[in-house]
Amino acid sequence: MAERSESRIIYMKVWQAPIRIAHWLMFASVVTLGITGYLIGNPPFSAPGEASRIYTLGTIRFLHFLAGYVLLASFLLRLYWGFVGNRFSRWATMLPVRKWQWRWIWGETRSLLWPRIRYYAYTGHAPLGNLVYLLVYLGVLFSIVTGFTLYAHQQYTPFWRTLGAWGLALFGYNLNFVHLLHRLMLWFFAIFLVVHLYLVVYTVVVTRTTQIDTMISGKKFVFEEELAPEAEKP
Amino acid sequence: MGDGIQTLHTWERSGLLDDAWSRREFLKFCGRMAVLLGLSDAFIPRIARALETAIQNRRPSIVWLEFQDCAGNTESFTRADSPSVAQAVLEAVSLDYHETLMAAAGHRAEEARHKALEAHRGQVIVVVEGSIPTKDDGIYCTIGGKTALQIIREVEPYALVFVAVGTCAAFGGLPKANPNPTGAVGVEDVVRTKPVINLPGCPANPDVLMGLLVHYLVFNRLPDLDAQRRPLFAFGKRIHDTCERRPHFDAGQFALAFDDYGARQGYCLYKLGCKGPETYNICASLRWNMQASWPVKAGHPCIGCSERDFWDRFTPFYERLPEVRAFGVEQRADRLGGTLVGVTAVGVLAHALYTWAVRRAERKAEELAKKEGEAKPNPPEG
Ligand code: HEM
Ligand code: HEM
Ligand code: SF4
Repeated sequence: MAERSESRIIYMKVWQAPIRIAHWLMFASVVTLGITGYLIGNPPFSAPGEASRIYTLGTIRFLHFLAGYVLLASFLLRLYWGFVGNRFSRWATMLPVRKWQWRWIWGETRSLLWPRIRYYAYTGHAPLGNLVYLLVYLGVLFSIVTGFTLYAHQQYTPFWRTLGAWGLALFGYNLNFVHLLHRLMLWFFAIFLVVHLYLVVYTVVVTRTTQIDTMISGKKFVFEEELAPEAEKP
Repeated sequence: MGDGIQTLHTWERSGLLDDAWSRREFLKFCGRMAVLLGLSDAFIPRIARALETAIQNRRPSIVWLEFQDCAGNTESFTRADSPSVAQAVLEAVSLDYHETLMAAAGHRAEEARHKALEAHRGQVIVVVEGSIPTKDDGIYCTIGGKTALQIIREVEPYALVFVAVGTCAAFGGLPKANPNPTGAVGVEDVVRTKPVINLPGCPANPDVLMGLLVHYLVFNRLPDLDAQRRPLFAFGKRIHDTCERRPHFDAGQFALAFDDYGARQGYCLYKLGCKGPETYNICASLRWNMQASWPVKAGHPCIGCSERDFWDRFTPFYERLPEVRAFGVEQRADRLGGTLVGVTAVGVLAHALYTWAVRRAERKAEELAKKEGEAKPNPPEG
């Protein structure tokens, strides 16, 4: 490993407030949705008593729908900010449409698979992370579409009826299939969470940058020499 | 209601019905139809009059076609144990052709159909039971030498509306289930020039068919439909939202087996695979067999028989969700997901250990190199 001279420290603003707010709202809502969703699909309880006095699953469903609206709000906020925010959060920079982006992605993947190859830090998203986050946002969108389709079929106003009919048409006119797809998303997020947490911590340890603090305060602290040659510098 | 009573006297005199069906039964039937269609009791005389007029004029003509079916809708309609008022009324109105019910057979039956069609061009209510095969030119279902497809084409110009009774006629049903050897489709997939109304169900509820007819006779137009061409008066809500066990669902009280405490208490059948949350139908309010009961009341979870592709999408019937085909085997979604999360966690852990080991080896090598460098007077150029 190269000798570390620790010459220059870069300390810069990376994530603007809307990105951070959207991220933590998304985190809170996805975790709530995952737990309540699991319980809705597979309730492990069945308490005896007068049904009119108990509202266990009703409450859980209420929390699920509440968190569903929060997820929708955070998604819309993030979507909007991708068009007006700083260069680190723009969809235009995140979409891997250029060849060199794919080269970087491959480069980072290689250094993860073979730890002997140097793993670099970035000021914004790492190239691979970038790709995965786009995928996660697609997953969020998919959960929202399937979730609100299911939700629409529990309301009977003209608005929800229309929305529900559209949603159902997307998935072959079978509500149970929508349930299945929606439930599989729970596992998509569970897998992502494991990998996400690991790579965040991995980046902190290996490249000596801030990550979690950056998602909270917005500012990133990184040694210049840890930065990838292609990384954006201030 | 004076008007209505007048009507009912005519009804009795008409002698069209068996003695078993008294004026009282008929009135009850009209009342039920009013409730079904969401009308006030002021409509009961109107319904009675409309039916009576229809019976006197013997119109509209109804032709009942059977294709790839089990005659279950017919069976349900006639209710072998006690013929219903609905059946009597339908026959009285003008059921001109029905293979299972009519006395005529062979050429004479075909003739009856032709006569009915010619006499009521553009006014025939065509009830279809069973799916229509399309593979290999539809040879898998032929009647009198004609395929189901040909018969539909032949009848289409004469029809006022096609009413697909049962899930097979509406959505293809069981014959369409994977792998669909006959290329079966529902009526809506082959009829092009006339409206189609779907009354899915396995079987469809006979009262719903009567409701449709009554609606047409009283208002002279077809009822409002949803996006899948189902009348809203019968398919406007999910079973789950009209089910008498619903409070137990919201409370989180479930039967876990067919003979446990929860089952005896009448708890919700969700965990036994109930598809009520995914199924639009009127079973919970209208019920079956003279309004006696319906599956969930009887203790069996709804299997969603009136939904599209229920045989492929709702099975296994006693599981909430279908299984997922992955890695060559069918598995539960949660088993699959849980396994993948486990594999990911193990992978991540292995990666961490591997990285740690590699880094440690590198550090050791560095230290060694340093020590050697100290020992030698001339360090290697960098
Ligand atoms: C990360 C996002 C989400 C996850 C992980 C998630 C998870 C789940 C799970 C596991 C179920 C149970 C499915 C079943 O077994 O039938 C469920 C049901 C449901 N979810 Fe979500 N969900 C998410 C987002 C949403 C959103 C945004 C909405 C919109 C309001 C929503 C609305 C619903 C509805 C209506 C149900 C059906 C509840 C019922 O059957 O009573 N979900 N969700
Ligand atoms: C299910 C929960 C979570 C989801 C769905 C999620 C999703 C995301 C997404 C989509 C991004 C990209 C941000 C953007 O550009 O919009 C991101 C970044 C980030 N997340 Fe999460 N996250 C979750 C949980 C967490 C948790 C629990 C932590 C910390 C303990 C965390 C820490 C971070 C950090 C540090 C970044 C910035 C990474 C970078 O610089 O590339 N996340 N997360
Ligand atoms: S028995 Fe079925 S339809 Fe009734 S409340 Fe339970 S899940 Fe819903």
